[in-house]
Amino acid sequence: MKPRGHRPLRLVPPAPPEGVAGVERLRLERLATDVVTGLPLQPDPGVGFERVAGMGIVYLQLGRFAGVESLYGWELYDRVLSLTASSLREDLESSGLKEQHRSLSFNGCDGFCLLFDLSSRPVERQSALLEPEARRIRQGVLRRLRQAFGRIAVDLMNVYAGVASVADDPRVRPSRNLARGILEAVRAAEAHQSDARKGRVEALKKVLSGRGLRVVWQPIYALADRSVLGYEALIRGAAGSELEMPDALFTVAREGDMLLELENLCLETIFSSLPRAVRSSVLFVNASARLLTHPVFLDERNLAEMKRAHASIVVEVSEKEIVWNYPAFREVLERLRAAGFRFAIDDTGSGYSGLETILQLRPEFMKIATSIVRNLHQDAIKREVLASLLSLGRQIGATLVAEGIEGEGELRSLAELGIPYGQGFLLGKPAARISAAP
Amino acid sequence: MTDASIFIVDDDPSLIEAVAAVLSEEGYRVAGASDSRAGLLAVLADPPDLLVLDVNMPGLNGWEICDIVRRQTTTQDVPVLFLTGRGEVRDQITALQVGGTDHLRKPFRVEELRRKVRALTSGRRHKESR
Repeated sequence: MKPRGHRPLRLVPPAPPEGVAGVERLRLERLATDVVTGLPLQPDPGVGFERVAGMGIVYLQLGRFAGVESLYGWELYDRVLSLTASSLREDLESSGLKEQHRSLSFNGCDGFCLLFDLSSRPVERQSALLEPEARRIRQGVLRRLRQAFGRIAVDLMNVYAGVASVADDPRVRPSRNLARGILEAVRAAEAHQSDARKGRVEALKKVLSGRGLRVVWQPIYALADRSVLGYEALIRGAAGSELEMPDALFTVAREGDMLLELENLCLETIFSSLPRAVRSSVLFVNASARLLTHPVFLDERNLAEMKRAHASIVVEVSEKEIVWNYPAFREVLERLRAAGFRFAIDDTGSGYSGLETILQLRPEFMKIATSIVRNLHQDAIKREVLASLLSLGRQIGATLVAEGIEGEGELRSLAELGIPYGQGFLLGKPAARISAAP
Repeated sequence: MTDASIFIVDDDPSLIEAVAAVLSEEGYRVAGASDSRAGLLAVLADPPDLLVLDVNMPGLNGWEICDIVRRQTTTQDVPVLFLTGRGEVRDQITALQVGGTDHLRKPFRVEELRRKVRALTSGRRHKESR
């Protein structure tokens, strides 16, 4: 037994100058290397920047769309990036150009740059060497991403590769020559992406003109007794198509500037097909800030028509959308509430807004982001976040609904914290038909 | 009775002393630094069983320290408890993003501190996911 209360506190004196220099080195390392992929943020030709002529470049671009990370959150995107990096490392090991490989770097958000020293090969042969390698590496990344993540947004799961060679031009400074070569490979990758994008926008136009959407219903349960509070209406495109999942539909609609058309069709589809079980409980529908602030949507007749179709409607708006549209929002809320709608903040706790937004808007429901719920039982910080939100909810009279519950541990943890309602694959998957018992 | 070592970095020496008084009574070996750079160097030289970090500090802030600690193989699994005056959810998320393990909002109750430290130092910690 050790004596209690007699351990002295050891205080470390301020760092000496060489210590400060050491810390500065660590700080620079932090700036030079990406923590998620472990990759350098600068390409290094491996022969100094003085001899770059004949360097072959393969540039791999993850579907570049700013919305992807905000859609799924940084945790998932971290996993996408680290899987992509390890896929590249693995495929470089087995590459026919392994001997020529000089560097693998990351641009910090969505691009990976591979350099091969092909200076011993004739220039006209280089692209014939690089193109098949680029295809192989791209296929490797796609295969592993799809294995790990299944089918999420088409844009996230698409990878585009471009190749280029560094020209031998003594008039140009080599470091800039390399930078231009990389830029050329980036543009080649982007051209592939833009072609793919056009094809998807055309596909969405067909969905809209053919009214090719359907609705699935996901039950929301009281966690205490598993009674059904209501259903969230979720939109689907044609089964098996690239545009089946709503994230894909909305990603493409944003690209093609067809968001309002898509949302209108979503609402029409939902309200024209309400099953009996949904009509007799609470209906949760998703809406974008853009739709809600649109005069046609806010028109009294439009609102009254929806109320006639269903007596108890909760409109869900994502937290991240509200942040960007905050001033316009209060007026919209007043009109919605006057028309008898209730309001839910979706994705609460995903990190976009502070408690202030919630406090100001006073939603009737707060739907807790899947990223908070995921592995809640193993994560003290997440429980902390949730406890803060719960206490806030009590103060403003908002009811909490946990989203995306997949595991028993998560469910137990939610119940222990006192979260009243939840939805997720563990409790009930979205389905086109509603069976009588949960 | 525990023998775990705890290192505290906070620019307020009186807070280090207060926390150390509570924890050394529990048997923990407590060391600390009010100079953030010196704190980081001491942690890297001799990894503790738990690192307690303030967020707002001159020199290096707590988030930077945590990020650097997570990048070193010798310290990547050291649990990190953030002490912070900030209560925003966004800051709690940042704590997660830089690899923090838990979070305690100032002012905190002594019992809360004891409970969290006990949880974070009991047994071998499960490894960070990255």
